Amino acid sequence: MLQERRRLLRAPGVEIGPTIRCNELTTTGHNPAMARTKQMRGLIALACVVGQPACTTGRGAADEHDGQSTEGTEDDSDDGEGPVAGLDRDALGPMGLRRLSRAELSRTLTDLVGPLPAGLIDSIPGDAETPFDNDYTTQDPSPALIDGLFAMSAAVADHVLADPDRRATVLGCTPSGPDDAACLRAFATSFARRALRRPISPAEGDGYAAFISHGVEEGEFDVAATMVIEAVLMDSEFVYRIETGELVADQPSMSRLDDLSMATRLSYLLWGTGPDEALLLRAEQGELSTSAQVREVAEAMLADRRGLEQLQRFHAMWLDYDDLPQGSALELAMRLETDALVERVVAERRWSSLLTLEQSYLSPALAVHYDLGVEVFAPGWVDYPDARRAGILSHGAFLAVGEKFGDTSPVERGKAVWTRLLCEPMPPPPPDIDSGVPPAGDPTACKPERYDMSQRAECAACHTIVDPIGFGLENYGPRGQWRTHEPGRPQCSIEGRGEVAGLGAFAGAPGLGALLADSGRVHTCAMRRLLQFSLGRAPTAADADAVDALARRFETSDDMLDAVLALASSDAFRHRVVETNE
Amino acid sequence: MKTPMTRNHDHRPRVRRRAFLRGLAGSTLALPLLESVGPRTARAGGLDALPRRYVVMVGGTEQNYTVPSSTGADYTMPTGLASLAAVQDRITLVSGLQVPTPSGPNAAIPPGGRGHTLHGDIMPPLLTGYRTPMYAQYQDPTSDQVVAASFDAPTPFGSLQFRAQPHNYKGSNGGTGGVISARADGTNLTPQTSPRLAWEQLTLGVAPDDPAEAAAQLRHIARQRSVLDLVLEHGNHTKARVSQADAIRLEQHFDELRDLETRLDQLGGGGITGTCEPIADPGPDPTQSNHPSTEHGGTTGYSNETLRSEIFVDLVHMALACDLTRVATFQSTIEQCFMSTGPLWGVNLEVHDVTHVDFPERAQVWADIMSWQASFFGRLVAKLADSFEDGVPLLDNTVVVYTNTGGQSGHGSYDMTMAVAGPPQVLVRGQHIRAAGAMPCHVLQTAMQAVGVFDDFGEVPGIVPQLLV
Repeated sequence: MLQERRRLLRAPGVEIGPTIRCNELTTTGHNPAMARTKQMRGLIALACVVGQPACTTGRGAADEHDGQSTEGTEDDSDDGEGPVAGLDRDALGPMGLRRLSRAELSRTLTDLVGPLPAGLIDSIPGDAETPFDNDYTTQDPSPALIDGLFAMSAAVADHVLADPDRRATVLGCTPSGPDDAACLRAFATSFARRALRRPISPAEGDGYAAFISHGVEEGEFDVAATMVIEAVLMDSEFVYRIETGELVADQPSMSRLDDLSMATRLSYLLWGTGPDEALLLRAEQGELSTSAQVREVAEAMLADRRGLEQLQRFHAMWLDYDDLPQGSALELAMRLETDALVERVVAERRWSSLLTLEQSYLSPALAVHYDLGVEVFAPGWVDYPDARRAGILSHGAFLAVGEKFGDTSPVERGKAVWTRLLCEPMPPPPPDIDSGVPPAGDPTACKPERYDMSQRAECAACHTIVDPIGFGLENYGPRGQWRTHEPGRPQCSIEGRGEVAGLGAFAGAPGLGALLADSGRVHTCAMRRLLQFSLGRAPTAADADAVDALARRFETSDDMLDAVLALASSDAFRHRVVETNE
Repeated sequence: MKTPMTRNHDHRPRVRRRAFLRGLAGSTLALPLLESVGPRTARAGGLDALPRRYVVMVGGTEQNYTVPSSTGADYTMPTGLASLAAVQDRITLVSGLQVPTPSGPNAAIPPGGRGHTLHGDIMPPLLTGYRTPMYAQYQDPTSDQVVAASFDAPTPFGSLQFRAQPHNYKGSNGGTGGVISARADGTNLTPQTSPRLAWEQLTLGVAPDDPAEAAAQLRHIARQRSVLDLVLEHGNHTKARVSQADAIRLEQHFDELRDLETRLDQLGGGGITGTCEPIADPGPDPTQSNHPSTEHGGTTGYSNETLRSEIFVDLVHMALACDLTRVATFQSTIEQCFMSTGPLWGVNLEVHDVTHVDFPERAQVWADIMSWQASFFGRLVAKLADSFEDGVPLLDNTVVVYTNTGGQSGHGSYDMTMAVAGPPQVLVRGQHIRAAGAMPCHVLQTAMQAVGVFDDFGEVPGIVPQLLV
């Protein structure tokens, strides 16, 4: 396989690094999964791993498909209920085994044992962000992971058993002594059921209960309880999302997920944590077998606060503001502002308002920071007093993404819009370009002149696309402050006008937001990323039908909840194509 | 210092389960030759008598101020490596190295080269000698894993991977994400970033002096073993319920669990004995503090990477001296390092900014950063030189290679300098060698040969002959 991969990478005509890219394009936020292959990955027919995209102005297709639109097919599912056009059972490509991300681990453990002390899961290695933190193609096991899991398990046990109230709640019984095997068995069966997300067999219960001998040896019940917690949290069924189901006739690599697997899949997609007791019960009672049943459950889950928080996380990772520091009250207010906007556009089922809403959730300090000219006495929704701002594109959280060289970077901002919001490809600069140094030229000149990178054709290809987008947002300082001229250069007034290739000209965040919202391209991009988030890998050609179907639906409905529900309850989501050697 | 002695070796044959598991994936997953044969005989006389050891150490910054002005002996240590002056006679610098880049905008990546001069693609060709798609993770084995597979040593740890910088602080830090070690099957080995956890793992076999405590520790290890037994038993049941592809992925996870199991077996039965000296409990891991980042706004972090590095280096030394492992990697900071320069150098920037931003003290700060990163290599070399095994300095049976991530004066990868220390009967010491046009993988291959591993390495195999005695 290794040799085969090398052959692919190094064969004549398959170049792995022709680079057309120019000055100051970002060096972070890449997608390693896109270019990554290895033994296991070779099992997947990856169409996206070699070659690099060039700057284009077409609809985004960096990691995907042939661009062919596919009409929705008739439902051919086994239950015949609730079909979602275009999301039939074979609409998605193969999916690999997924490990819980660090964030998922944290939330799952919190659900199991209550709030965790700071640093409890620090022993777990961090996740790659591609841009999401759940990309299974980057989840290699390692000694550090195993050691980290072992340390985490022991720390959770200590945490649970050190506090009498917490201990009583988690154990669920009061041990009569170090040899109380019945209590240990009851605790183990209950704890493992929630953690492993399935019923525990009597034989498994016996296995855990056998730890009582160690409790007896040490004269302490909690020694055995510790071992149960460690064994459960080290179990592969806890650490990984094990999916099982019934093979589909004539489709040897496809199975229809059983209800318990469906509960886990739903729960991690919609809540970012494992199923709660109610969801487990529904799965055990066979209430996740049809599309309609899944939709009903998913609707309830999305109505839960955890559903909203998961959608906020999805947007934050997608649009790259999840890692922004929140050390100051102002930074925290910026994040709250954007989270509130996401909450509102989701709840009001008008998602494009994310780009166009003429109100914002502001703290008094943030209103001053933005120089709004209106008094804000307490955090809340505020009407923008003029047409300078609208939607997320005027938020400090989003705008800070493009901060560079002590000021805004039109290139980085343009790139953020182009690659993040529009899912368009962006190749690296030529090998002799150092994107980390400020643009060459007269340092006293105004920014448009300094950022003129049209001299080299291979630079112009991308800069003529991304720079005009960024310049249209130049009226906003590095953290979103309004400004009319470049800092320290009163002679350099800011025009604040830009252009998106293929869409047209705009002025400021309101203009850009309206342009993007009307184009439908952001809707398509959002669905590509939603699919990526749900699959744990970048979309490939095999997922093209699903992307198209979701995008069409979302563009029409403008309703993120509807889109998520459509995906979650679709036949495609209720089936799994496993990786094969083909 | 007290002379560490190696513990009694367990020469029980180890079943290399990975070899079996790879077979599950079908005939296309044939084992590389390296892993299907035993260790080869060292060329150099005297090395066979004692265990050979191999360490690769990496900084995380585009190097500068690291090329001496003269070659041969008696060169003046450059400012970027000033911290190595104390071990100058024990090491050799090799400069003039390069990782090649495409000849033009649309040219292909040359063999062993990188696609451009950004951060994201330097690490794989630097440490494997293979070109790799931009921002990709490692797809080929790093030299430490080639050596570890060749050694196949009966030690509790097949190899160690440590990194001092615990968090990215911001950004994604290129495609390799702070990993500097990868197996032949493409598995990227995430490093341990917690000194405390590393210490706990390495000292698991250190028996307390108090017999009661020692007995309690043995019972504790036995309990951990029981937990792992149950986890692996459950794993087998789980594996039987899933697809073949999922089962293979699970087996990779179980491989690591079995390695832990083996460690418990080896260390739990008495552990480290004799006069091998474990280091003291390092205490809790240093916590992160945040500092202004004037170039980008906001803040960035520092987690006392100095102390973390010192502990990790001491742990590597201990692990080698106690024969807990014979192969290790260590990285002080992640490539394209976003660590704050405030606490150590008094400038409110990120380390990466120093390679870009002009300010009056820039040259000195940059050199100081280089020297700080190199100092951990110097620390290990000094400790190995001062430790003895059967009367022979550990350094005489250990090869330590140090490199930073690029050079010079920016983000290029030309005129890079690497430092090497090792057996004097094999590797020259106290020299500055100019190896213009050679590649870092050639230094690594030479280092591999110095510990008796003669496999070709990288796409453009070769050595730096001047490095050899």
